[in-house]
Amino acid sequence: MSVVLVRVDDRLLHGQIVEAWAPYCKATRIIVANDEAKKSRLQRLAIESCGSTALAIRVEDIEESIKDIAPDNTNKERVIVVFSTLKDLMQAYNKGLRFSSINIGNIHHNGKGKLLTPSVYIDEEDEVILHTLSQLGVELDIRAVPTDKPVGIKIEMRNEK
Amino acid sequence: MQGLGFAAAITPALQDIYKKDNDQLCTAISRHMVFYNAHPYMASPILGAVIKMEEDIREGERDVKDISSFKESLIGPYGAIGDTFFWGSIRPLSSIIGVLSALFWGIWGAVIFLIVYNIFHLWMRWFGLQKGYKLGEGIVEYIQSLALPQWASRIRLVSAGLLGGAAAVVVFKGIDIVLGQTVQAYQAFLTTILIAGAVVLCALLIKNRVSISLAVYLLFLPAFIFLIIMDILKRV
Amino acid sequence: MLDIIWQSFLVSLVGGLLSLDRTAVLQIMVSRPIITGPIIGYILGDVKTGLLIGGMLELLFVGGLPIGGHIPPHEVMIAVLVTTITIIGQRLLYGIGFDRFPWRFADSDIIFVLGAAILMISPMDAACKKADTSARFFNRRFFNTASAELGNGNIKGVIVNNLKGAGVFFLLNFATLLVLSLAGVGVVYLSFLFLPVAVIMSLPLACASVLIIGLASAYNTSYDNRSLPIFLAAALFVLMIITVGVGRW
Repeated sequence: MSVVLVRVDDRLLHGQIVEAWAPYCKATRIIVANDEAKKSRLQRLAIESCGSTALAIRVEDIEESIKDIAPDNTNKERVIVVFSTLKDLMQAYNKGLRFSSINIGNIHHNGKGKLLTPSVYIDEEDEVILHTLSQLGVELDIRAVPTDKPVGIKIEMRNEK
Repeated sequence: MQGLGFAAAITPALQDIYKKDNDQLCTAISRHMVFYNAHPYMASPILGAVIKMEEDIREGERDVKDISSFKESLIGPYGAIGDTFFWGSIRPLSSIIGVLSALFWGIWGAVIFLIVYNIFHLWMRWFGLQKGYKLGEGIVEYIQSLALPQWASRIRLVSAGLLGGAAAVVVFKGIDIVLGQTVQAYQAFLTTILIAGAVVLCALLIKNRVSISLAVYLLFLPAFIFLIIMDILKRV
Repeated sequence: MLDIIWQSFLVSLVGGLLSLDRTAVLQIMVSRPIITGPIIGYILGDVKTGLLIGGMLELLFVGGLPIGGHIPPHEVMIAVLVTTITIIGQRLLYGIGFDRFPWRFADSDIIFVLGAAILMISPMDAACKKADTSARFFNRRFFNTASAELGNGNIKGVIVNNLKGAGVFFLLNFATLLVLSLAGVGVVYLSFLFLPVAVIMSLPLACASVLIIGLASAYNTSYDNRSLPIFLAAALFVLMIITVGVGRW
């Protein structure tokens, strides 16, 4: 099992992932890692009904998804993992999920925070996380769909105390 | 801004639910004046279900929060289903059927395009709304049972086949027009294979982020330069 | 001259209405090129050319998914413009005996004008997208007005503002179409008068490349592994049927 895309998207699963990223990455499985969606029967059902035999879609909580994507899992699936926030992503990282790059598609924070692209706003907490990630050598790729131009960002920490 | 559209679409139903109580009606409508961005056709089943839920709220059987969480959790996934099924497979299918039949029956091709597309479209608009109203929250199970993404991938294969047929007809007609009726079958075969190859190559190009209009220029330019050089050589 | 302006006006009016179908109302897909082309052709008195152009552009733009915030090419307006420029441009040039051309311009030479119109797609699309984005910008304001009016207890405001949104789309698209179609016809006319003959002679190649790219982009809507063999097998099968049917070996 190889992870082909790690995405942060507060709208979780929608057209951009299924119709643009999945064919672009030749993905065969999408894992939506979100505790709340896992708990809500309705949301889980709705998300999983987007799947087909060619592209399986599962909703899992974060713990479960990490176990699922563990490197010793040797089947040939190509997986997209979707988190709803950078905090969830960081939580997964701290629990042992490793990735070399992440894609940031949609973070809205109700329009508050710093605007990076029309669909990505980051608050201070996000900024700290992004900084940590880039220091860990994780590539940051900020764009909604693969045909967009990737936005480069500079993350300066405000004088670390 | 589909939020306004959704609010406008649900207003008549809400007017019916809250007949005289203008205050309640306004609060009900403003519940729907929020960010809403899903596939327009898939809005129908959601709309139906929401109307049902609004009725429950009037009866006091349901909490107002249910509606917004219901809508919020369906926007993304149903947008995805709509994109996959309608934009990604039904529209290409009807386009290809339309073009293919236009090659044989002229203007009827356009009519056939409209009919094929709108059978699916209006089916979702009408039965989606009705089913949504009947089932309420249960619409989610119903939509899942339809397995639209599964159908989408089947339909895509059918489209690929039809497109192959259309390509052959286009190439054959093209050869006839350019070279007249004197073409031998083997020449037609070779040209078709050549053009099918070119099509697959260009498809790869477009997939790799070359925009469609750029691809047209890219294909046009070498031939154009070749002709110009030939012209200059002729003069020299 | 006056009838060209009148025709462009009429075409832009209908084109503006048809383009509403794309996002604002109904969405029964009369805004697809295969429908728009023949309708515009009918207004200009040449359904056949309209259908030809519509079919070509239909395949070309079949893949443009309005996913998320991504704005695909504005296929309705492009179809209207290409059809208008081709048909009106061809009429303008018809019968003008160019000294520099080895032949007189006639009906069958429409493919040259069409080639020129096709090469203009890219800049026209940029302009159409601009119009579209600014219409969306206005619509956001109507959303806010509607919210405010609802606060005042005015329910009609919701519906009226929704209609106003559609009205803005129509007006902006209409104006863009009118300006671009007149400009396009002018460009075609001037380029046929002044460009080197070799350049003009190469224009049909643009039509051919649109056909090939169109088939390619339609093929791209199916990204299954199995679609390539199916595509090729179907092409060969149909070709065999045609050759047998026509009886030419």
